[in-house]
Amino acid sequence: MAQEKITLEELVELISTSAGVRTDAETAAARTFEDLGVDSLGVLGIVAEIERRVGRKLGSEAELSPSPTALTAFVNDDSPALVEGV
Amino acid sequence: MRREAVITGIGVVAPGATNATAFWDMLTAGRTATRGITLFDPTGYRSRIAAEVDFDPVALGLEHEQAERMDRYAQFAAVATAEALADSAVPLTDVSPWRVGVSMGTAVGATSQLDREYAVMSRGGADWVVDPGAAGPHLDLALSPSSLSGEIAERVGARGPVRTVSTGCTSGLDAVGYAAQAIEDDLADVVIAGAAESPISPIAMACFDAIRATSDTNDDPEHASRPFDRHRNGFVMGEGAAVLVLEEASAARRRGARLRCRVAGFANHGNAFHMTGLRREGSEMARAITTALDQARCPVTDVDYVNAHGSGTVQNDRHETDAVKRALGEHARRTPMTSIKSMVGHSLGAIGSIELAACVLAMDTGVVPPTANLTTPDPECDLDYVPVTARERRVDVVLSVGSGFGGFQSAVVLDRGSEVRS
Amino acid sequence: MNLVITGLGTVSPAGTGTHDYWAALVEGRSLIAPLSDFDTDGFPVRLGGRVRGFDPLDHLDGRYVVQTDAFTWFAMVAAEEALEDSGFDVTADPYATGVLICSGAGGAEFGQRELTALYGSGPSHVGPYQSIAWFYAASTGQVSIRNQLKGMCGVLVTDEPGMLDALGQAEQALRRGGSAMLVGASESAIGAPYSLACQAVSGTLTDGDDPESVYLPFTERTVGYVPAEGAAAALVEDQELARARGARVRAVVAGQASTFGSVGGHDPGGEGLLHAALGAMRRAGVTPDEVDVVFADALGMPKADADEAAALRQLFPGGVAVTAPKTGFGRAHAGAGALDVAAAVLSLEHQVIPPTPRVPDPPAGLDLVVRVARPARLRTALVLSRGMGGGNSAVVLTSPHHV
Repeated sequence: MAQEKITLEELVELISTSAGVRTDAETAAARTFEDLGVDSLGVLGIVAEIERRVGRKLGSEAELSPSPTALTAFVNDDSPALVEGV
Repeated sequence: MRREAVITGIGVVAPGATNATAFWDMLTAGRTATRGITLFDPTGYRSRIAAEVDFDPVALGLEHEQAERMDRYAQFAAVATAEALADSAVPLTDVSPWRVGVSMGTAVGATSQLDREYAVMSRGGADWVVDPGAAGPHLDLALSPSSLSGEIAERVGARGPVRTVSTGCTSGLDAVGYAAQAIEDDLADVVIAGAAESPISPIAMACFDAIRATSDTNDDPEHASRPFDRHRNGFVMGEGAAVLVLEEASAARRRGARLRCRVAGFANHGNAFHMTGLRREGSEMARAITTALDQARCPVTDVDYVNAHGSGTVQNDRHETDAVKRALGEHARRTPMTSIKSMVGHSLGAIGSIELAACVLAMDTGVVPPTANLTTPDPECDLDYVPVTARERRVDVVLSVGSGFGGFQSAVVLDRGSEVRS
Repeated sequence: MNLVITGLGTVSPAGTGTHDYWAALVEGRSLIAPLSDFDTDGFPVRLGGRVRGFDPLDHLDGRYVVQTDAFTWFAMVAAEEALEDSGFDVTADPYATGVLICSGAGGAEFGQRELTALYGSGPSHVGPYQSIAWFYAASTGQVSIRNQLKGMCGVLVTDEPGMLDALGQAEQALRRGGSAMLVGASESAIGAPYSLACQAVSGTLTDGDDPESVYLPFTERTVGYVPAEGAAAALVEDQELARARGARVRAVVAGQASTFGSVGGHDPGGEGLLHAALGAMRRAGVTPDEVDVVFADALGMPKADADEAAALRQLFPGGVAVTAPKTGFGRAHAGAGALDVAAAVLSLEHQVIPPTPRVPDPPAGLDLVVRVARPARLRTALVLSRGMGGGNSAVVLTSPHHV
C-alpha cells in the first residue's frame, strides 16, 4: 500500500540518498535546492523516488520545485492521479 | 613547411540514408527520419521515438563473420569507411602502414550489446552475480570501445596511431580534430577519422528519459526534433556513423586527389560548470570557436555557414545562439546556422562527424541544409537558422560546433581555401 | 617542446597516494587477494587487485559520491594529489589547464546497478545520474568541474596504453595553447560481476586461486594475468614554463609513440611494440644504449610474453634492466599504463628499480629484476604497454637531474 504523503524528514533522507547532500529538516525548510547544493538531476532522482513511494506520477511541476518545502507542499496537496507503470 | 590535413573522402551511414549521396538528398530535401522505435519494444518509456538506420550489414558489404563479431555501431563505421576510402581513392598500399592512423569517436560504445547481454546473463535483472557461461564470445571487446578504431585499423591495414576518442557528444568533432593534429604533427600521413554510435537501446533511452532530455512527441515523430523552435521539447535520439579520409595536403596534391577542404582549425574546452547544465552565455564554446578560427587563420567574416549543435533542448539552443554571437559578433546574424539534428536526430558521439560530412557536402554543392521543423522560432534564438527549406549559397569556410555532457565544447573549422578551390 | 611531470597522484591496490604505492613497489609486496565483493564460486576469475579500504567520503563531497562511479572517484582523488603535488596555480587562468583522463570500462559498477533497476523493475527506475556516471567521459568532466579547469578537455579509450597515449596527446595540445594538462587514467571494473565477466571472455585472465602462484609473466608457469583497479594522474607542463615558475620537475616526458597490432591480439609478433619503442626513443633523442630500465607490459600470456621479450632483445642487444611491478597487484586495464608511468617516475626519482613480485628467477636472455629492488643509476626509463583493443604505446621518461 503506497503512502499518501511525505514528511520533510523523509525528504531530508532522500536528499542525502538521492543527491548526496546531508542536511536537516530545519535547514531544508529554509533553503532552495540550489542553496542546498542539490542540482536539477538530484531533484529528478528525489521526485522519482517520491513517485515510487506515493504510487503516482507527480509530473514536471514537481520536478521544477525550487525548494524542499515547495516539493513537499506539492506532493501533499496534490490530488492523487492514477498512474501506469510506477 | 607547415603540414596541413585535408579531407579527400567521406562516407556516411545515417538514419534514412546509408551512403553520402542519399544522405545529402535527404538533408537538402528537408526530410526527417524519426519514427517509433523498432530496435526494441519501447513500451513504458517516456520517449518512444528515434531516428533509426535501416541497416543490413551484409547487403552493405560486410562479411557474415564481421557482422557477427562487430557491434552495430562498429558495423556502421566499417560501412562508412569503405565508402570514404572509395570516395578518396587514397592508395593505401603506397603508404607505409606505420604512417596510417585511425581516430574514431563514440560516446557510449557498445552499450546496446552490453545492455542486451546483461539482460541474458542476469536472467532479466534477477541475478547480480551474472552467469559468465552465458556471455557472448565478443563481450570482452564490448566493454571498452577501443575496438571500434581497432576494427577499422584492421580493415584498412593501419599500424600507426590508432585512437578511440570518447568525449561524449563532442566525440565526433574531437576525433577529426585529433586526426588533423596527428597529420600536422607528423605522426601520420593518412588518418581514417570519424565516429559511430548505436545508442537506441533500453538503458540509454531510459537514462535520457530519467533526465527529461529526449522528446516525448511520440504521436508525431517526424516533427519531434525541432531545434530553435519554441515548441521543442528535447532531442530525438539518432544513430549512425561518418568517416572522413584525412591526408597530408602536399601528398594528397601530388597524387592528384580531389581535395575537398582543409581541417583548418580545432579547439575544445571544458565548461567546468556542470555535467549536463550549460551557462547561458556560452563563453567556453565561444572561446573554442575563436581559437579554432585563429588556428585556421580565418577572420570571423570568412565564415559562410555554421553547422550548429542544435540538439533541440531549450538550454542548448539558447546557449549556442549566445556563444556564436559572442564569437562571431555581428557576422553571426549574416551567417546561416542550421541543425541537421532536426532531420537525422542526435546520435551522441557520432553526430559530430556526420555533421562534418554534411559540411563537406555543403561546400561541394553550394547548398546549406535547412533546420527542419522550425516553424515558430524561439524569440530568444534570433539567428538565421534556414528554416524548413535548403538554401543555395557558396560555402568556402564552415564552422561546426558541438556541446556535450561533461561540459565539452568543441569547434572545427573547415576551409576550402583558394588552393583547394582551384 | 619538452613536457615535464610536476605532479603525480595514484590510487592503487597499495592504497591512496604515491607514498604508499612506492613503498609497496620497492618492497615487492604482493597485493593480490581473493575477490570478496560477491560469491565468486564458479566464476572464471576469483583473484584481483582491489583498492582496499577506500571510502570515497574520506576524499570527496557526498554529491560526487552519489553521482559518480568508483572509476571517477579514483580519478578525482589521483587528480587532486597530482594537482597539489605540482603546486601549479590553476585558478590564475582556468583556460590554462586542460584535463584528459582515459577510461576503459567506464562506470562499470554504477552501470550494472542501473541495468539491474532497468531489467528488474522497469525503465522508470533508472536514475538520472546514469546519464553522467557510466559513460567514458565521466572522469574528465568531473575533474574539470571540481577543479575549474577549462583548457583542452579530452578522453581517450585505448585500454592499457591510455596514459601513455594521453602524454602524447597532452604534448600536442600544449603546442597549440595552454600551460598545463592534468592527464591520467582510471579503472574500476572488478568489483561488479558483470564487467569482470566481460573481461574474462578474453581468456587472458587467470582462473587460479592461489595468489602466490598466479600472474608470473615471462615464466613458463604463467597462464594469464590477475585483473586490478586503480588510477594515476600527472600534471604535465611545458618544461620552460615549469622551470620559470620554479616547479619541482619530477620527470621529463621525452618522447612517446603509438602503433597498432591487432584487436584482442596483444600485438602478435611484437613488431608493433618494437616500432612504438623505436618511435618514442627517436622522438626523445635517445639511443637504446641510453635506456636504463624498461617497464614491461608483461601480459602474463606465454605467447605475448615471448613476443615482448623478443622485441626487447632486438631493441637492446646489449641487455637492459626490465621490470614489471604490476605483477604485484595485477593489470588495472586502463589504469595499468598510468600506474606504470607513475612507477617509472618514482623509480627515476629514487634511483631504484622495483622488482617483479613473485617471479622467482629471470628468464633466459632477459635481465628481469626479481625478488628485491635494485639500486641503479637511472637517467632514462622506457615504459611499454599493449592494449586489448590493439594499440601499443611507448613513452620515454628521463630524470630531470641529468638533462
